[in-house]
Amino acid sequence: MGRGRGVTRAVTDTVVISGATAVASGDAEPAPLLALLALIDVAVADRGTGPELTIHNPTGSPLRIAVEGVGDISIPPARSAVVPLRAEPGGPRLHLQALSTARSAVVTVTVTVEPSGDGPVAVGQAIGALTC
Amino acid sequence: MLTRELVLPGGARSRVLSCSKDLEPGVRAMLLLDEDLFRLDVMIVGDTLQSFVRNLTIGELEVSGEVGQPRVATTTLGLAARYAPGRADLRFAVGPEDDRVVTEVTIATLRFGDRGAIRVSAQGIVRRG
Repeated sequence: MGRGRGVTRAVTDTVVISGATAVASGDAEPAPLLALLALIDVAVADRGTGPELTIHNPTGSPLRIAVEGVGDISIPPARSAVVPLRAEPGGPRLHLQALSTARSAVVTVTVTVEPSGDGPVAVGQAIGALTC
Repeated sequence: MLTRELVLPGGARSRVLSCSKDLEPGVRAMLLLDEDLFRLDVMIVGDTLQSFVRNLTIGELEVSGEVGQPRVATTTLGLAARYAPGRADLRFAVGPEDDRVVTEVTIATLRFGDRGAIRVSAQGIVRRG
């Protein structure tokens, strides 16, 4: 295998962020979990109906999000949306792709909730990359 | 797996694929699939993540010589260090000579020692060369 034509362009501005936090419960503010590229902020809480993510769009343009098992949502500038984690055999889980046309960037986020001696812990990982 | 079409500046079309799976060590699993281009499998062996690219085109598969050295920033927040986050990168081209397609994949991992699983997440950006 050699270096192929068209394969030599450098990857630029790719980022991997890993975050974990205790799940906020009751009336507490959602606990910040991930913040990426000034493109998306993710926090987690459980208000008694199961864990849910609060996804905030800090940008000045709509954030288009595809959520696995849910569908597409769009978050207006400076607004948030709440998405419940899906109940799966391994525990609550959510996988989404967020696309910012204004920033020409795409972000993949995966979050699960894991048991721990201190209560449920949300564990998230985000991969972000520019698309231009 | 999630797949979305992108329109790049200048009108070129691209595609983003992403997937996340919990794997046990030694188990090979498909991570990304573009039915016209490639299939990417991964397997965790010890501390190593092995990747397998199946070329579904009539052209040659070429893997970048820069694997492992892209400009990728990593950050660990809160309690995440206890899950031993890691990452890997892969870049390859497939397709006929006059229509090469380049795919850049970033793979991120987390280890859940109490249940013996590794979460493997991947994002691939597919571009016409």
